Amino acid sequence: MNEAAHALGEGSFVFRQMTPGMLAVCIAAVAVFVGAIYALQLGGHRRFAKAASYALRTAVLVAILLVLCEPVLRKEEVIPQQSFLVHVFDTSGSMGIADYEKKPRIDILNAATLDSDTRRELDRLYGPLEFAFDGQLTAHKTHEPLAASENLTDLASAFRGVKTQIAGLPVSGAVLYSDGNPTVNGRTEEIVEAATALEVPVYCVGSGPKVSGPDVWIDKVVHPEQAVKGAVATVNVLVGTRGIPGKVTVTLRDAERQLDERELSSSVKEQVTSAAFQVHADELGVNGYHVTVATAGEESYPWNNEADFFMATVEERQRILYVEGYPRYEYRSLRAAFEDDERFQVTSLVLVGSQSKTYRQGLSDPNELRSGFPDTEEELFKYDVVVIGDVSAGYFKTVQLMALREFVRKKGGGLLFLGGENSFAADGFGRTPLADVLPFAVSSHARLEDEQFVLPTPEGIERGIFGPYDPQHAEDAPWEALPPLKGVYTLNSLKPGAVVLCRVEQGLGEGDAPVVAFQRYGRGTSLICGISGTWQWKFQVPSDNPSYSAFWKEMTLILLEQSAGRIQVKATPSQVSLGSEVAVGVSVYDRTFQPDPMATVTVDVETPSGETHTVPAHQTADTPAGTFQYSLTPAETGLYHVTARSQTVGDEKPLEHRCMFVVREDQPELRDVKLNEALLTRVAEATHGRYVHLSEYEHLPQAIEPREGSLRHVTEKPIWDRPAILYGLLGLLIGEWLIRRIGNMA
Amino acid sequence: MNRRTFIRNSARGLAALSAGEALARGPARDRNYERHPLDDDDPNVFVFARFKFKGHQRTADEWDTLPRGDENFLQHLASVTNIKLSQRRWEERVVQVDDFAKMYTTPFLFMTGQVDFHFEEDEVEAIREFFKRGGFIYADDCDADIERMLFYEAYSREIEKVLPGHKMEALPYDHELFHCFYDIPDGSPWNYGEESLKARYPDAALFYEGRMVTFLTGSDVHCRWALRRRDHNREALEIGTNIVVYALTH
Repeated sequence: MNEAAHALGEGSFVFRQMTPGMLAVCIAAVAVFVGAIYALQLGGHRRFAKAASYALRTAVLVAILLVLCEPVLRKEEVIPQQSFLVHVFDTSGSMGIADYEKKPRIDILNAATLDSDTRRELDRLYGPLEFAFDGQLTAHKTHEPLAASENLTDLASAFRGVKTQIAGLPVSGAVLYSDGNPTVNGRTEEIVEAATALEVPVYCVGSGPKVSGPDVWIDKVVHPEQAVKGAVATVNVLVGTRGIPGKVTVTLRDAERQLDERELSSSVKEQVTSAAFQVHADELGVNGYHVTVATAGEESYPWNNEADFFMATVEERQRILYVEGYPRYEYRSLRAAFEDDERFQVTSLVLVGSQSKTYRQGLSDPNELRSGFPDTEEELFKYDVVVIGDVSAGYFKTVQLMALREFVRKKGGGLLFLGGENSFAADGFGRTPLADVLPFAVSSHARLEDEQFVLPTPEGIERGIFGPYDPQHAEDAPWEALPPLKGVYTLNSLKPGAVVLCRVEQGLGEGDAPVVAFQRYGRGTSLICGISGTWQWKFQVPSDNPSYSAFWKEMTLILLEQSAGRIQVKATPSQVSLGSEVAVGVSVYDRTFQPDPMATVTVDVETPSGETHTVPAHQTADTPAGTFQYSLTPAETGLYHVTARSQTVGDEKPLEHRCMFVVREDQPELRDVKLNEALLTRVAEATHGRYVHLSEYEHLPQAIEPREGSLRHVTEKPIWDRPAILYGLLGLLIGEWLIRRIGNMA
Repeated sequence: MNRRTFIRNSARGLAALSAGEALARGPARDRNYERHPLDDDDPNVFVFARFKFKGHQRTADEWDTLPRGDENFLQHLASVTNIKLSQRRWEERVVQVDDFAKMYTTPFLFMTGQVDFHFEEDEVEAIREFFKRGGFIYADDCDADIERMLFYEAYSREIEKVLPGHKMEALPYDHELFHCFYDIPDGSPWNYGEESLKARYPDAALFYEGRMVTFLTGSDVHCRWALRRRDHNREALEIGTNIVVYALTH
């Protein structure tokens, strides 16, 4: 019986001689037949004895009927070794961390995959193909022990490499053994896209401890790319803590001295808290900053407690053009928010009269906007952000809206669209060139009748749109102090790439509705604010509440994230370990912001010891037109200053842009050490595979679906001839006989 | 009065009378300007609120003088600008000096009177907070023909208590307030012969952190809106329009 039960777990129960439907009909017929006989022949006997006898006799007949139908356990199995299973092992630096049962992660992985029943079963069913990867993919000899390297993880390129290697082979799936800790090409979408391109299910095996040890780490530093000289920039340092109750101290330094220090509370529970620093932009050029977090408690991963970031101090302010449909408090408050920030220079045009009378403010010269909103790209491209207030689409000429679309797409400008009665009227902008630019379908808005509490989404919280937030003091969240607002519009049909920053709760069963969202469009960004009276956040709260200005500053910075001049240089990565390669990319545009492949580009790299090397940057077949590249492998630690110059025909003087990168002896691979189950699950789900943790590795063979079209063989185990069935039958007959005797039935 | 002066004043009087008749068409409380359908559910409507302060003695013309003037002004504002105006009735637009909750939902307050008054300590703090949040008060002395303007003097004194270290100062005529909608080269309207009063009680403003928070006139602008005074009515409406446009744009 044990054998049968075991077989039942692996196979399916079927009858050889009859279908389940027919069998049910026969059983019913037997029951009716026996019942009818009892009713005719056994009148006058006691009701209990009659019923018991009837039940037992029916059971006997049903048992005989079942046995005659020949029940069997049927097991279907794929014929082994018809296809391959690809084993892809992560051997990057993080796999060497000794935090998994106090051993390196790679050792536990070796123990599970070199000599285990599960691995033997997998190899019995599928031909093994093995690869190991860190930054690069290499073939790995089957059943050879793995060793962790000191290199970074590049999951996306590992998947691309596997795709090349398995092309044309019959493959049932790929098994990825990893801690899911990508440090190069770490965008989830890119990794998922590369995994999906394999066109086979990816089974991910989480190869790291499920619960990580106590740790304090710098999660992210959110800062503006640049600040105007003399301005104060807000830098938010997101600090992660886990298993360390008490306090942690965050310190900010520039190249010479400590600038400031913040104390944050931490707890046993994992959390991310932000510390806000005010950084004075005094020194022109690109400036490097260093953040560290320290704790008095013991931590398992002390190497992820510091980060560097760079911020440029410029003399020019970012120019904002604001067009408003009528004088209103929103206009006045928003202008004041822009004006209060030294990074911005706001020029505005508000329609004030019944006959298109306008009022201009913040002019650079008396003729600016004299004839209204700019008609040409050249005129419009002087600005960095354009704000469309509550003004109807009818105010604009098509040529102006086309220029505005190009302003976002080509120039990389920011478009802020304020929802209101006029701007949302009759789908006006939905039928203009701006329809593509905006992150939602204009006709999909809905005005909410009641006052609404506007709340940030997780993305909004991460960006600190209402100011810093400490999850340990959720009741003190900045948005908790803000009043509900009138004049809120929901954005009901967002575009696929839109990111929601604010939401309103719609009530029972209706979920949340987005009210503020942005999307990237071309080189630029568009942001829609469906709140037509954010000024209430300023006027209806105490004057020392900074949420209103924090909100608009952050919105403007999101719009400016993509904004750049005609030359842009970027070092990737901006933090690198000694011996790794740094790619310097320079993008150059002509006066109409078209990529300029004809430019002559040079790059100056100043090393930490003060030496400067000037090298030409070149376009390659892999880079887009107008993008020039230069790669180097730094030989010393410290800050490197990079200056890119481009000379274009027609320009009086060369264009110039600067950036920095830092070279450290530490391992960036070790900064984010937690087992990333979310990423591995995402990869598995996207490829129709499955995620299991290494501790559940024995379930993997059952989870793997053999390749479509694989040949199978079927085995059957008879059940009808088991002695237990005969004993059961005899028991029923004896029971029935005893009841008849006791009940004096014939 | 010589013959020339008599003819000039008579001509001015006639002109003012015709402007006044135009304004007075229809009952003043029956506001026939175009109203916004969403009214105060829309945070973008403008509420021209009357500020109810406490005078030293009850007189006929204290805080609530001539509501008809407000209505006439709003009618003009609706006809020349595209500002969305609130549908609230005059009584609903009154904001009492000690009703702080209502004050903090109404960023523009208008006060007028002819008597001395003072703000209590808690009112001083509330108005200070009102200014810091971005509020604006327009004040007008309603007795331009009296040698001593008690309301003008009281307002200047009290508002300097609200923002210690800041002073009400004469606003030069090249300031944006005088040019943002209409070009008003000589400020608010005064009658001929009132030059000494104009010098003593000029159009004045107080700035807090670079932003104008209050504007004060002594030229009886509101009485001209209400047609109690039948001269310079058009000019009074124009300076009123500029004050509102300025307050909504700066």
